[in-house]
Amino acid sequence: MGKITSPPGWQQLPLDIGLAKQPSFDNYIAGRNRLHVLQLQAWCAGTSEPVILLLGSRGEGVSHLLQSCYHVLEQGQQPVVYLSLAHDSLEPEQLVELAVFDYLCLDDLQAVMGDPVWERELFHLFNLVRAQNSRLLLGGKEALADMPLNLPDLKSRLSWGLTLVLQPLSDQQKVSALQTHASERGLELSHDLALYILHRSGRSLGELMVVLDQLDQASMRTKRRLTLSFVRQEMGW
Amino acid sequence: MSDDLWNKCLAVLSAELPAKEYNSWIIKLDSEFSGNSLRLKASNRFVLDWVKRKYLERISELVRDLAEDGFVELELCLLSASDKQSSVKSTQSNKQQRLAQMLSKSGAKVSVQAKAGDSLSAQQSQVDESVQAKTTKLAVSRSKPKAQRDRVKQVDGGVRHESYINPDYTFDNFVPGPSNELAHSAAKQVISNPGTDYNPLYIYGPTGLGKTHLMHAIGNHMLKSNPSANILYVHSERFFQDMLKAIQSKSTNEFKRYYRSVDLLMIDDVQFFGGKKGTMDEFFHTFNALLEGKQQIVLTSDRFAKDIEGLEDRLKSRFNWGLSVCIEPPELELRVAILHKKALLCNIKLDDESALFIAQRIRSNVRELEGALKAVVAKANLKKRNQINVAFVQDALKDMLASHDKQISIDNIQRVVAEYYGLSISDLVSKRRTSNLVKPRHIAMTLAKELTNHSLPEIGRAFGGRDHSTVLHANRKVDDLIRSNREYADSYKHLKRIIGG
Repeated sequence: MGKITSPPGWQQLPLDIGLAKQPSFDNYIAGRNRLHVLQLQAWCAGTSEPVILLLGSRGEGVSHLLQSCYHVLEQGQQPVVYLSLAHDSLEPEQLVELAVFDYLCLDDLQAVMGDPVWERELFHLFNLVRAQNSRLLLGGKEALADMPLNLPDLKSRLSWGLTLVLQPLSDQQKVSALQTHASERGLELSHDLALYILHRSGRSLGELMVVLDQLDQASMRTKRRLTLSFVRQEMGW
Repeated sequence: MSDDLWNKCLAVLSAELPAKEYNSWIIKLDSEFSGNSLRLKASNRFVLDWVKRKYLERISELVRDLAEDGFVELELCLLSASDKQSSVKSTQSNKQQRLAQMLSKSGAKVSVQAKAGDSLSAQQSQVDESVQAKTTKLAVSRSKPKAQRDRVKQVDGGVRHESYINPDYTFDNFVPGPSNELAHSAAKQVISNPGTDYNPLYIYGPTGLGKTHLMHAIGNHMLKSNPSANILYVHSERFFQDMLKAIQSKSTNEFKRYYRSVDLLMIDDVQFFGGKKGTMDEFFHTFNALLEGKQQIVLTSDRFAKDIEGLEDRLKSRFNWGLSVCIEPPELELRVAILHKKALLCNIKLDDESALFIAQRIRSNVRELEGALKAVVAKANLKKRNQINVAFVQDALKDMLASHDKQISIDNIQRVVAEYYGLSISDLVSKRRTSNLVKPRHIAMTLAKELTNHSLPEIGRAFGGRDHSTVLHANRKVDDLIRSNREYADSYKHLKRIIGG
């Protein structure tokens, strides 16, 4: 899941929304989440609440935004770490070691909630982060109520910071997003065809991007343009 | 000389530390000896900070113990640009790679501030210079210890502790009320007569109600009235880690001296001692020593001592020797008062109605109240407003309240809509097309489209195996009715609110 820009030896891995480009605030389609982006930019600048909990359904851009923060800070030469608790193989006991970073972006909180060891170690990390005035950005792809969080101490600390919940894009914004991303890949996707895809595919941005990926690859393979018949044939709709 | 001293230190450290830690951090340091000073150089600020926080205390002890010529000044700093150009250039990328490898084994992305390239730009030099100011210097001597460590300062021959007290938590900004006034009075009593009747003071209650605040307030007050008092606040986990470190580095005597030389020892969340036998043993002796010396102990826990699972009986009974006081969740009036006080500190004018609105919705603990207020303040700052009303608060808290709602499912939407119209779910998803069923069905389908990310074919299937085009048709009908019929629009909005959209 991870990627590193310096030093070499790290491999580029796909993002959870299938974007080929490096995630950034610029290529995030904010829709109704404009203020959230501003909050996160303020977090990177050190001017916001130091602890932020960013929640959203899968494919709504939680990982994209956490990684955007990581890249901004990394470019600003800040000691920062981005870690997916779902994909990166860290032992829970190693979590507190991360407190040496000034900025921590911990993604996929939902993957470890319910595990008493992880919950306890996160709680200790939280205390260290606060004691050392570091900044912690936690990302989760489920509502807090859906996470089987057992440790009340951690629960109360999670509600202590600023909670941001990403709102899904409207259908019109999703159509625009599909067209924009298609265009970035050199594909021409009409409004009607984008709407056709939206009406048949899973409608989170992540799922739409997976469809676009599949169509992109099929288009390259068959050297065909995106047409209604091509999409129907390729997607089996 | 430099090589000798540093090599001796390396030999000890390699035996004491796990190989991974030793290879990742210690061996990477460059050493230089000039005059009576040993200078250790880290390749970047990240390494510098890491070594400073984790190993410097031990290194300084070793330098002090192993230096044959008595006084040696130990300095930890960054490699300068010239160092890098002359000697490190060729190994820089190897070092960084090793560092990244260690951290990246997990797959994490890491930025450690230093650039990987060999060329040292002007920008890099500036960074180095700015960081140079953070260089850590230790004066160490075997005959006359002067170690300025992270946690202990030697002052006039005695042990002076870094208190770890948060200056923001004082009695002035603690808001007392019926649910916490006993604990508040007990804490005040402790500062009047430390080490006497209420020793230990054991504050317990659910998380997020102000136990830690009161603890720090005691510390801050005692420090204010006696700036030379030795005060120490630690989380129970820190006590445990310190003890482990002391055993590993064979410095348990120093550990004991450190913890037993305080005037006030405050340990947070002692419920985490449960089941840790070694920690409990050590704490038992520390506790006895402090009590004998009439040094004050303040402890917090989320439950009454007798209820802590895995806590030894001798500790359970000792925790009750002084005074045990409980903090209860704040009642409405107290929650409102807390919000007003906190808002004032944030320079936000919160009217009574808005405070009441928040306090009625957030009931469980003060941390959550603070979280809610932070959401309001953050939004006010972005919108450049300092006057807040209920509508603004309602909007600002949308996220926080939504985070506690379960994720919306088609099942939930069907249940709510069916209940609202007095139908059964099987009616709602049936093939029948009577008007009393069609209207709610259309609403439920539209809500499912608007509030979930399910595909339209999935939504159609969930409504009795209908086609995606039926969902689109329902959506169009509902849109038309919302525009033309006010009552219908209100019902739709009401249902959406119940479901949590």
